[in-house]
Amino acid sequence: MKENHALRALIVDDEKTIRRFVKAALVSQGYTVFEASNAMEALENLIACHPDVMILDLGLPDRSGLEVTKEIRKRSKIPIVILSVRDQEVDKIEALDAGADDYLTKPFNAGELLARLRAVMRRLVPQTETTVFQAGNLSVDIAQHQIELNHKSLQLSPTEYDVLKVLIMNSGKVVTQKQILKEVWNKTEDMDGASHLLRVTISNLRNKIEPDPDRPSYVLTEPGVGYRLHSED
Amino acid sequence: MKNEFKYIFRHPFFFYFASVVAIAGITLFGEIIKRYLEPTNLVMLYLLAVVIIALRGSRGPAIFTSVLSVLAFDFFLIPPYLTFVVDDWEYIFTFAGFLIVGLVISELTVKAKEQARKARQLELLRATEKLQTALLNSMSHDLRTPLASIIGSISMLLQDAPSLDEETIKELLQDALGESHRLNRLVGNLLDMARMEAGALKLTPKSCELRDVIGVSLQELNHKLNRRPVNIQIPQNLPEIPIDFSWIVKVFVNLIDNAVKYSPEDSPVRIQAGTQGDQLRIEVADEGIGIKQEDSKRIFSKFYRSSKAEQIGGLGLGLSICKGIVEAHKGRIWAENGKEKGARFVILLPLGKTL
Repeated sequence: MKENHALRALIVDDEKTIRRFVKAALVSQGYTVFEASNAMEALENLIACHPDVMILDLGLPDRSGLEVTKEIRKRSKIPIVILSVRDQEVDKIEALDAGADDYLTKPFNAGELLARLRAVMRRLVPQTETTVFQAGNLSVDIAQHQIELNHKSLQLSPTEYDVLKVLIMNSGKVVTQKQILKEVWNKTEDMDGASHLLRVTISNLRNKIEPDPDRPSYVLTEPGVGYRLHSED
Repeated sequence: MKNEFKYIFRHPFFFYFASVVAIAGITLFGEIIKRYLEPTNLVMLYLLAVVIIALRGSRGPAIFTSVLSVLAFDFFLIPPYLTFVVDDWEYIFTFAGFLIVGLVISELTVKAKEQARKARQLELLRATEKLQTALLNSMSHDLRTPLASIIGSISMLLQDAPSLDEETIKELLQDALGESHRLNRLVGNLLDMARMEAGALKLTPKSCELRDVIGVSLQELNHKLNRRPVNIQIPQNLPEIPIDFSWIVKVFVNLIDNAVKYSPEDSPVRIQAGTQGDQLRIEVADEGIGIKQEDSKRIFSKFYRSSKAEQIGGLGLGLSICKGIVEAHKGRIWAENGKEKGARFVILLPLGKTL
């Protein structure tokens, strides 16, 4: 595990008790933590405290977290992890499409939060020298365009490979259907037909790389949102 | 008398009867003026009767009115009188036109009325659906938020307790406890509401001291009150009241909980009691955001949340439960604004020995 040398995190939630345990979790990992209880404070602290990552609740008292995400994305690429409750599905997906990096549904435990943060922060580190993705028995060399499963070469169709590549580039992080459709098929409309194509491709991909395609261990479905490539053992 | 009238109004033959009366009236009027006026001018009056009957009644009476109008018009107002025979063939066209227009009007009117009724029903259904969604959302939010804090705090303690300093550990434990109590109160209120709706609010009244009731209520909220000043003014010689102790405690727990929720962290909560005639008057007051005039009644209805309170969690059940309990004790509860600031809830409970 990489040491987080004084990484700075901004926690935005109107519930003091949520901020408190999230702060404890982050402090235990060496983060310097700043807090905000509403959207206005969040935007102020974003400028004042220069955080490296932001944990943002969708249900803020003054403006929605979705609006805050859109506002921030106009001028900053800071990683954003969304916190939501179950009835905010639509806002959550919109926030992800608007550029939020990942989400957690309340209630969540401290371990999940830290795992999400690790995945989000890992992608901040430029990965020029290493282009090989390794998870379990699966190994993908993006530069060489080679896939190995159990040390045996594996053939994927071009579409399957493209989808897998998008997931690898975002490994550990949720990728929305819309994002994959745009990256792979370059489609922003015709959602119905294209999303069916995506499901078929995912299913084929799972048949090839998963030890048990019915219970996937690499390509995980995030219900109603999209997919996530499992990257931690 | 009034009820009898309503009954007549709803009788299936009422509009047939009304139709006969109306046409008789118009025909009589026609009899008087037919010397001065072309009888065809009266057709409009008959059609007016058709429209009114169609609007008020239903399809049957409207068609009946159309047909009866033509017959009466022919029989009484078209020469030769008092027979259906017609001298001038032109009138046949008048009758046909009259009848067709009458039937079309009654059909259109009835349809327009049905459409309006359907639109109203749909609107009502949408409003109910909207309310249910809002309700589910607020429930989901209010039940999950404390859970999120509890799960988060405890998982943090389990995962990495050694790395935490003592104060953080204590804070996390206190949060988990406090939020568990909050959740418990919410669930308690939901259950109480369900019990009251099921008509299962059974009171076992016994003579109690108000001082005792307030003491227990404060005890229940102890963890939440922290160092919040609570100013209690209960006279020594206050008579005992016949109440169901545990239900009345719920009333004060909810009222004090609200007072704390809707006022600044260090402002005092005031509880004051005294007799007023043969009743006990108790006030719970705070120095918080107060109550909007138009909200003072509505806050007691189930699931109502004042727009001022939207920022603060809650299901909107507490006050409706308070009202249910107080009224079951034959008492009254209402809300008003304090003289300078804040809200004041007043309860009147009968001092009598029997409920």
